[in-house]
Amino acid sequence: MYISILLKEILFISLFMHLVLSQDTEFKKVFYKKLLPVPCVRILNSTSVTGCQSLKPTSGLLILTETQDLLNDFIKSDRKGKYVVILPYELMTNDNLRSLESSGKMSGVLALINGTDPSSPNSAPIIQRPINFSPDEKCPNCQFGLYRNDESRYIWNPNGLGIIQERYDFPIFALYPFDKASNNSYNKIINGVQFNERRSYERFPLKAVEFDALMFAAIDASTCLRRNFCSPVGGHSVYSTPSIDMNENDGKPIIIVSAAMDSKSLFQGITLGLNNGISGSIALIAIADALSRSPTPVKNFQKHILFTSFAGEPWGFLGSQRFVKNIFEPFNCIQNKTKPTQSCGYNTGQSGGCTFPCFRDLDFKRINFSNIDSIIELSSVANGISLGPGNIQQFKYFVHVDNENNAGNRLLMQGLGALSGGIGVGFVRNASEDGVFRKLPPSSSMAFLEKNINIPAVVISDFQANLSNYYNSEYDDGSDLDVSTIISSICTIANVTSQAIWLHAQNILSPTSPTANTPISVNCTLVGLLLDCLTVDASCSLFDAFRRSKDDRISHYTGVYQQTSQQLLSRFHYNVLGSINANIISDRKCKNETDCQFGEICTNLHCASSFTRYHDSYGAGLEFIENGDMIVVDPEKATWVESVWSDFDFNLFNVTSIGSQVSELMTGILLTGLSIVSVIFGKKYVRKTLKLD
Amino acid sequence: MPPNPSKIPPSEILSLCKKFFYIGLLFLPWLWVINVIYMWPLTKHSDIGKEIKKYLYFSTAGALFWLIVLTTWYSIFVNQRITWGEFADKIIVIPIRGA
Repeated sequence: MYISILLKEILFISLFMHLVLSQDTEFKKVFYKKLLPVPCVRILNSTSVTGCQSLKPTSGLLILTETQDLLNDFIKSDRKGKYVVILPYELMTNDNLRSLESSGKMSGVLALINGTDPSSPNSAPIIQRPINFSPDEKCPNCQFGLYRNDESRYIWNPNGLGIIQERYDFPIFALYPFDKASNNSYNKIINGVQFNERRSYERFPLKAVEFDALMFAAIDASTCLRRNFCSPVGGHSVYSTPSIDMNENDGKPIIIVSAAMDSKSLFQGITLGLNNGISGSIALIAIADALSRSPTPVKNFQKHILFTSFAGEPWGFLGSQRFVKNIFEPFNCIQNKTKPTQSCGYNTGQSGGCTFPCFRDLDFKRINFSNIDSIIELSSVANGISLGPGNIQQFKYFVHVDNENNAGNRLLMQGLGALSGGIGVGFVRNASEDGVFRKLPPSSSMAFLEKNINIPAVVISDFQANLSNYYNSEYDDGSDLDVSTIISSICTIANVTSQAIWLHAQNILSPTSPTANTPISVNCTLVGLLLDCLTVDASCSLFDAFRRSKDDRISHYTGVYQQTSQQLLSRFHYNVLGSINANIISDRKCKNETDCQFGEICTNLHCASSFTRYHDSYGAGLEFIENGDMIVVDPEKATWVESVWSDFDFNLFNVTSIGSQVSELMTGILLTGLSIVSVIFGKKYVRKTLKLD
Repeated sequence: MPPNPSKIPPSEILSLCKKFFYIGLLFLPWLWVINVIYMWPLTKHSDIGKEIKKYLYFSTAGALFWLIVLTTWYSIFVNQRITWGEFADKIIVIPIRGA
């Protein structure tokens, strides 16, 4: 009898072991190496679906196609099975991706953005960085801009591949080593490829990867929002002014100084956007800082100066369009419960906001749209230096306007030109000096001009005819430029612009004004510090007040709008601009802004009042309804939403040949059969010998 | 195994078969299927065979009816779910991800 119990016990234990091993996680820990590459995410609007999706987990052997010829060979080859194709980013054209998809041999793509051979880290990169690379459209955001109905509109990004706007129903991940985890993933994958190459894809086992990247979103933005599978792309714009008493009826003209806060690329996690995003924001902050040191406080000038840093501009200008919509249209608070509710998480009683429509505060009403005097916008300004004849550094920036005959535009263009060394000869030129008038490039100013085309608006940039060569690409990380060049480029244009604003705010900007009259200059050390903070340095002191984790690098992707929680970049701009424009510094001590009252900034460990506010930004075609749900109200405007997803699975494992897989299965079946037979016979034998029956 | 008529009175078996059929009317097509499988060997019984056969035919017809209705609904739903939009999302119990 004891033996019978023992036998049962053994059977039970073996069954239990079998169950444990077949559990996904345990099994995967033993056989798989989990990696963390950067995914391409599904993003939708009311008319299109973009980004990547894999409905089922897929796997494939690792293969690297370094050149277009090798890629063509792979597509034409009669290889069996599925492959995960590692493509140099330069080869990631829509045509190549589509031919890979239709070849039936590809189960996923890894975009190789940079990186060296892991066996010799100091060697040259495996792939060459292309001179031009932009995954964005040929005319980015033009369908949402001022010239959307203009048939002969100018094409600003002729090198754009348009892959950001395409829909791929297979997983794409990026290989971009920049920190410990990404280096580890990168090395394992490249080692895997080299391993497979040594074995000529014939001698098994070979290295394969398995992906699981299910995106919950489907169909379009309104469907996805209704199903609760999407969040609106957006965040919080920041506006700030030294004019603490600015109000709707003060009749004082307002100069708006504007820049975009964030950027965009195919792989959100590694978006940096140094030129397109960061450089303009840095110039904006540097200008605010320079003006704050004006001998006569700028709040006493004839004009107000309002700094706006818009979130989500790369997504159909959603930051500027929402801001303009809110300050332009009459506001009507339908319901105010003065305390946080399910649908509106703000304590509106404390900050003077509204429960529906949900606003933390209504201070944006203090900005009177009809008082806007002019707009000065800083686009990409990091690359304003080029080498001229005799290898001498030359500065050159361009001013873009909608209408050259507008007197206000002419004044600003000529004033900037004069301050930079002379109209037509200084380093700030009219963008149309080559005889081609292109109107405005994609910019935030368009949202203002949409409501009143006569507002003078200038967009200052380092490009004349085409957007920067790495526009909205992962390569826009500044590694093609020298840091000191970037700093002096940003500093030079910020300097001239701050002087122009200083003069313009006093109504004394003139095409002939001598530069000696402007006791204003930009602090280039601050520019360097800001550049460092926003690109590489996690321990930057400007983040101290509000940054919890110290990652090596901040993603400059817009992110998704969350009502009461602001993203890192927004908080950065809020705190930095807020401190610069702080007015009355109290003796109340603070560690961060939560220690201070509403309308106050924590600067130098003291609370100070500052007219600096966050402003919600999400697609201008989206609106919240009373129960807190979001719906699409205008499919023509920006309605971008980002899909929710469950955890990505990305594993590296050894795959054996089909023959050995079949024999493994057969052996398993045979062993199971044998053990069943032996248990039955063993039980019978034991019962017989112990005479239990 | 069907009930054994030599152990249980045939009238009782017949009444059980009838009960299966009538309860099956309460949207329980699987009960009809069970009825048919369970009772089918008894259709050859000399005494109650004919009666049982009648109820088993009814059960089969009912189960087939349900099969047709459900497969039709399923194919309509799968193909029309997207066009129905909000209505389809409302009648789904577990939201379908990625499609």
